Amino acid sequence: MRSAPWILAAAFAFGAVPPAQAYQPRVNFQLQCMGCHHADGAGEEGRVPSVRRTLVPFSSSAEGRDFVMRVPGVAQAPLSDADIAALLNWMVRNLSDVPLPAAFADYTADEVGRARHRPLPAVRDTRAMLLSRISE
Amino acid sequence: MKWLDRMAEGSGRALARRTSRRSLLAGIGTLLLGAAAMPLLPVARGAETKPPTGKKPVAGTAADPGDPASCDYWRHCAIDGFLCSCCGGSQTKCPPGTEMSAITWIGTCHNPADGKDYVISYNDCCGKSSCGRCFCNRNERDTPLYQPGQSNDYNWCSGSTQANIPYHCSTARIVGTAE
Repeated sequence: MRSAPWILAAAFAFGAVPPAQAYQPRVNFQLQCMGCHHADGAGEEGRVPSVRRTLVPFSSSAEGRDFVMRVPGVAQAPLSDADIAALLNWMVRNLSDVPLPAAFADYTADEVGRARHRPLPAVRDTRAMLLSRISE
Repeated sequence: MKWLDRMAEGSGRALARRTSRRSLLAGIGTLLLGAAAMPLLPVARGAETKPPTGKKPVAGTAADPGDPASCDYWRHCAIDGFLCSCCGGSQTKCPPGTEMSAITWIGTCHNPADGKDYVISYNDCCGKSSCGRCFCNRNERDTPLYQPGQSNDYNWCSGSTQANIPYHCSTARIVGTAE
């Protein structure tokens, strides 16, 4: 820890709070999501929703994307907009039983930044509504 | 030289009075058995190190230094609870009669051996009342209750098959390196 005062001094010199350490999307998933959603994203029946059959279909419509970016676990995660976008783009490719459509548009930091600051009060109702559209 | 005779006779009779004729055999027998049993005793076996298997370091080795029954063990940097290593389990296994919660609190700890940060999953063991031994509360990067994903003050046993069963102790399992 001999270098710690110098790091702090440098941070103050630039007038900035030291940023949280940047991790790969896989590690951010482990740190921010896996505790409840499990390593494979399957969650817990009746308690924690699975992302495996819903994330890709949700991400293919404007309303679904809006829900994904505003759901409390995503919107309130202590990650930057860019890290959230990278995390979601990693999840649709690594934790999905549903293949990614050819025309899939990656999440962007701007998109996340616009959506995550609008609170989503009716999380369960919104999810149920989106699920009913997928199964139709 | 009479005094020498008397002394020899006296000590001989005293020995005969104190000991039985079979005690010599018993003594030799004990010595033989004892010598045979010595290598079976668990003395110094803990000092022997096994080579690590797979990628994950094995506790108490050069790659995973420290005592898993101590709060100072590197994997315990973010723990809040009783160490399963002191409660009949280990840093990766629940004690008999308890169940590991699948929902868990996750943090990162610095391994002094290789200088890398590791993602550590503090799965709680549930189903018995609090173990009460080796309470540790180090809380690195713990967040307040209103940020539940990173708060270790919750009873993470709510993720076991029966909701809200009692908390017993905590493990500290390596998920991977934090890069």
